[in-house]
Amino acid sequence: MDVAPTRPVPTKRRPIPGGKSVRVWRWTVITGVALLVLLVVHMIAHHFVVEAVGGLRSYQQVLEYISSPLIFTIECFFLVTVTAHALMGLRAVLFDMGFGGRARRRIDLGLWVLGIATVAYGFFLVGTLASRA
Amino acid sequence: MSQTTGTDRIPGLEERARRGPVLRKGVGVSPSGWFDPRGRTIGSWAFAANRITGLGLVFYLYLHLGVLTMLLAGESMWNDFIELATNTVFLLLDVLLIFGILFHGLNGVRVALVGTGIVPDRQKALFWAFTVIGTLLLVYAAFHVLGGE
Repeated sequence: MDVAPTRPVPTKRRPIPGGKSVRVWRWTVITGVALLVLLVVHMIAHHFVVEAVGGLRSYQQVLEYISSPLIFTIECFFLVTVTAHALMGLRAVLFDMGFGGRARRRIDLGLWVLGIATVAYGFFLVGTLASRA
Repeated sequence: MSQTTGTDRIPGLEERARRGPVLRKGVGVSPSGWFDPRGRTIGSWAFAANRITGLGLVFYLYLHLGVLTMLLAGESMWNDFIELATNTVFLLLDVLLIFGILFHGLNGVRVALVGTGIVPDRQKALFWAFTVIGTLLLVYAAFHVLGGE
């Protein structure tokens, strides 16, 4: 018996219905919106406001900038958000190449490893620089 | 109760399932053919350009982390790099980067507004509005970066 496809029903565990790719797309949108704010702050702080006092360019200026607790926190949020957004976008491109289920699971695992490594290295980088100021 | 699937009423379904380059407008993209420019509508062009700029920005993210690693090597290495990075070729690459960020960001806003149902029926109007905003921001940023202020 043919049955017409129906919309997934919201449940308590999954209030927004949809498959994994739909959830990833929603997270891509959420991180994208967060990036709009964080990127504007990042660009203004680095390339416009700071330039008025000589630009964030010399080694010492970079250390002073990153040692500020507020800037440090913003940069850490920026790193996590941009990495998540980038790798979810990369996932969408890779998944559109027509891989099977096994390859898709491997891609997911690889992107998780890459994302965690990227964020860990970024934290190490900003943490080391902040400690040198 | 027997129900029909309704698949025979969906136009262009066979064309969507067929692999290879896009042959006609409005029938969708084959799994690996999103970057094929033939027979594209403006929305498909925006989709392809969004992905190309996105891939470029992923590349830049890792390049940026690599460049910032020079800070760990000490002051002299960083200051040597800054001298190199402020020449005209690097500044032009900065303008290219800003173009990528603006296009990807503004087109992403358009896709999010349409895809989440906030503005579902104004795709073209949003595209042209964001094109104008993006062009103005790019011109301002290019003057700023290249020292035209």
